[in-house]
Amino acid sequence: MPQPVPTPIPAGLLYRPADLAGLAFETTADLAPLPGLIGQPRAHEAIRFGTGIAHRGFNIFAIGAGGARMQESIRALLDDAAPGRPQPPDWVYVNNFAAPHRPVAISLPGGQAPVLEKAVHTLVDDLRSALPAVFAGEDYQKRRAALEQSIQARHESGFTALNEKATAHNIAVLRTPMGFAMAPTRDGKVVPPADFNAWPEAEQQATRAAIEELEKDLEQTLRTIPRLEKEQRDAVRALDRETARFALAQPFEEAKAPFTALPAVMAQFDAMLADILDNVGLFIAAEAAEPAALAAAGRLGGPFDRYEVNVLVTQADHGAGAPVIEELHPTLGNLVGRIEYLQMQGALVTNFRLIKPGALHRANGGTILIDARSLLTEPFSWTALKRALLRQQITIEDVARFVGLTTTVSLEPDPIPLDVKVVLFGDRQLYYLLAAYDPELAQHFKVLADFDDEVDRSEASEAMLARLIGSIAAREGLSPLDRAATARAVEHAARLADDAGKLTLLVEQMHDLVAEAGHWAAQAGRPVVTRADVEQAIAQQIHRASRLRERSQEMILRDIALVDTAGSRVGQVNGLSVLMLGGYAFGRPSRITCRVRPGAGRIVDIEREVELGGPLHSKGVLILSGFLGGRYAMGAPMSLSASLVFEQSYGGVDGDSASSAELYTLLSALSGLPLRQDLAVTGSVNQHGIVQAIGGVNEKIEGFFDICSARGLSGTQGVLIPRANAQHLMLRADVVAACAAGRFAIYPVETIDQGIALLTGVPAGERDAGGAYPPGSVNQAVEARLAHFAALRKRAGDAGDGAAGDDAGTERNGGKP
Amino acid sequence: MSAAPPAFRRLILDVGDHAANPRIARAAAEFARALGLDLHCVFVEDEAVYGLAGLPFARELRLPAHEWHPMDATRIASEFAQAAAQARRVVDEVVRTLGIANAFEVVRGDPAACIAVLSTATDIVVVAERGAPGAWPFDRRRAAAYRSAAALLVLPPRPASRQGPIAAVLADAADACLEVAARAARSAGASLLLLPLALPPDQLQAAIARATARATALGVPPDRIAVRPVAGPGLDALLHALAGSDARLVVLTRAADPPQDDTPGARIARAHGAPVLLLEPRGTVPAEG
Repeated sequence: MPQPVPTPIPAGLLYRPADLAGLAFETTADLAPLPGLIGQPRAHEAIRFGTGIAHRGFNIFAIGAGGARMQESIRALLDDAAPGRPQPPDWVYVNNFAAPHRPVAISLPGGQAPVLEKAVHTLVDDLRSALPAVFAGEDYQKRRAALEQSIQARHESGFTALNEKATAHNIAVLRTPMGFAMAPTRDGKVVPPADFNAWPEAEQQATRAAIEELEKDLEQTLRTIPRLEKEQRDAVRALDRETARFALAQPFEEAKAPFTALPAVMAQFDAMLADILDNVGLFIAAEAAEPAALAAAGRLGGPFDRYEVNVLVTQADHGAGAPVIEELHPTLGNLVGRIEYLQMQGALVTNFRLIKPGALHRANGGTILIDARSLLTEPFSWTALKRALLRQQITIEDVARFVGLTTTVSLEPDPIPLDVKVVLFGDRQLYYLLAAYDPELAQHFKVLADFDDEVDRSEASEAMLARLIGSIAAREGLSPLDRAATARAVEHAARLADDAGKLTLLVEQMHDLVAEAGHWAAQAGRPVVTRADVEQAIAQQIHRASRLRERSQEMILRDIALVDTAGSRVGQVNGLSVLMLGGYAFGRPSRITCRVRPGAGRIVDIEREVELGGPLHSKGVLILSGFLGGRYAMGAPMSLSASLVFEQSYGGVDGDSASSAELYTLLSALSGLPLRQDLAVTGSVNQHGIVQAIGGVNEKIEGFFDICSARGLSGTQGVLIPRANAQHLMLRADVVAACAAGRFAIYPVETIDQGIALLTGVPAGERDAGGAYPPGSVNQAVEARLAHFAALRKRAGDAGDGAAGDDAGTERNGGKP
Repeated sequence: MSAAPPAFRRLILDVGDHAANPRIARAAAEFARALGLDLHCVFVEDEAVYGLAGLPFARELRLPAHEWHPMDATRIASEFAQAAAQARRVVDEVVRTLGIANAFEVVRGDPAACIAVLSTATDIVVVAERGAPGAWPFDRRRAAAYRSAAALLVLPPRPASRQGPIAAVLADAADACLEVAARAARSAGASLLLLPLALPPDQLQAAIARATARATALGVPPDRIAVRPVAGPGLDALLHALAGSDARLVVLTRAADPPQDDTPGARIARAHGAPVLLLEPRGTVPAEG
């Protein structure tokens, strides 16, 4: 049954207007806002499941297109759920008095960390003034003076005995710059050497003997001094401890009182008390120190740091419920925390107060959102996150130590138990690559939340999108949109989806449109955005990005790039391609030509031969061989040599959307029937000659329309598109208007036969009962030409001269069989 | 006899005894600045030590090694010079910080005699109380200072942080220490605490009134004068009166007893943790200025 030549698609089907009749509103300000996940039931379910399940590894990997603003949607969803979840504990780091390089992590009920910090800080502050006062007090001074005097009295008694003995022997004990010496005296004065030498020998001997004996006594007396000094130190230390213990008891009891139910905190208070008793001099010395030193003591790195509390994370900052944290810059330090250093006298020093929390600390007990690409591009972050999830604890890791940049003494803080739900978001390719190359991904991210790029278009989804548009306008403080503007924005969403039956869910693009339309409305002094503003926004968006499109069209219009829009030619057709540059796509017609001659059954794809054709394009060309072989097989080898080329194509070509156009040129070249040049063709084809859907149909049609329009619409011009693409049409208003006026046409084509009939004006022809195509049909002409090639080749083979190769033919395109 | 105290000009600091003790040097310098005195530092090289080097059997027990070494005049001289230089560095550092007039004198002779000669009635000699075992308790310079005509500034071994008034221990309203204390209080911007010694009740109020009037006349505002009568005789009563006062300096007139180390001044300094300025008793020094 011969297939009818397709008729143009009615203008009413070239653009599907929005139907907002079911939505009562004047402007979008009247519409209820629409937060959270919109039109993403699958992703919504996945996130609800992922956040609801408590088992290990059920973290979420959300994937979708870049403009989906997934994190905003997820964030809104999580924020809604967060208040209903239990509040996680606070975490603090405190000094480990036994091992200061290993700070102790203590967990407190949510919101209690600042209370503890303040209690301890106040306690230390109080002690810094109270302890010096106690030690400066008369009671302490008197006791210490008595203590020292009693020990000194013992010391002096030894000296007194020595002094008395020396005096009795007329000997003086002298202080030298470095010690002691004995000198003979007379009448209480030291005897000069000359006088001494004048003494009788016996007296000199007696004095020498006395000195020798006294020297032993002096030595003995001095030997007791270290012991006495130690005794005094011990006694003073004991007095200090006793004094301090009394002074500390009450303040400590008061500070501890709110935390009696927290054993770890009580233990820390006990350790702190013991340390202060051992180091009470710290408080007294600081009190007597210079003002500059006192100021330094109050800063980080000061001597009282050891007693302070480092509030790592507290829930006091954000009310009840679980935290939801988004980490935009997931460096290792920002993720798992870091240890900072202070430069002091040329050295880098640190202590537990310089431990800074990471996003995992802040999100602990709640949820953390991380951009997967950012995470993967930060050194060490991905592996650190996996380690944390595997061990279920946060260990602060110093990147400088990883790479051996520093040998500074650092800290090994207690790891903190981790209970967090991680939500990664990123594009699909990233996820699939990660899934392919990192086997641990599945271990840690068991829940996939796949965000759709578009939603089926219906009255409900249009209404939903209208509310979303209203939400965007309200959130961004933009003017509301009136009904017509909203409808135009919805229609644009369908165009962005490249499908009249779908609406895009790429919120970013809708946001941009609403923002720009608001801008133009404001420029025009309109309080409400109208359809004209939306149109202007769309037009401006295109205009800004269309420099290349205009250059391309200019080349065609100036006949630099050769594209005919009238007449007919053998082996030549207008193909359509789409160029996507920087997020902007436009269609461009290209001339596709074909030449045939007898050969070995090979169709040469010139694009591929010069490595400008991609694999999909090559696949499309190879399909043509299958089509020819299947349709025109005559029990003889295919003896065709054909070459196909995108003329004046200087860049890569990929995709199979030109395969139907290439087949038409091939059939034209074989049949010698010319193809109409006022039509352009798009669509892929299979081996059975069925024309299949392609992408970018709207841009392709508009690309050819622009050229035709610029040259003047003839009324016969149009585009052949796959019938399956008819449902995708959301064409520009000028294209629709031209079609409505009969000055342009869009033909839905199902088969190659329909297409070739339209292009040649000759029926394709179907085999009759005898297996022959009707005379005068395209197929008959093609088959006859192929048979002729086979005969030529056979003759050449019989001649045995090998001339039946690809170059054996002498016929030219357009030659009749 | 006059109750007027001498106009002090110098604060003498014997740096030979506690050469490189910055704490003592600073305390002395701050006191000198508060009272507008010149700081006069003296380093005495004991000539007797030099003399010992001429005795063949003389030897020295050197600390902290506790080893005996023969006396060598050259080495002794070098060590005296080093000690003097070290003391000068310490003093220079303090003086530069506080910006006070000062002199540094190195003399050779009998330390006790030198101190005695240097210390006149218009001087105050610094005496630092010993705080730990090890110091030779029979320092003749110390005894000379106590015997001299100069007043003494007794520094406690561990000064407590005191920000309170300047206390004057008054035997009577004409006590010379009142004027010195009033002058110091005015200079330091401190209050004045009068501690009249035990008097019969019928005399006490009159004595207080006279002392207060005199202090006011010396330039101390009445609202900055407090009085705490000492409740009885003896040092304990005085310390009791001082308790809780936070007095930063105690000024009292020495008893005319023979000088000894454990004078009330030394005991007050130790127990109260503040410097004590001991003035010569009335009649022993002619009034000046």
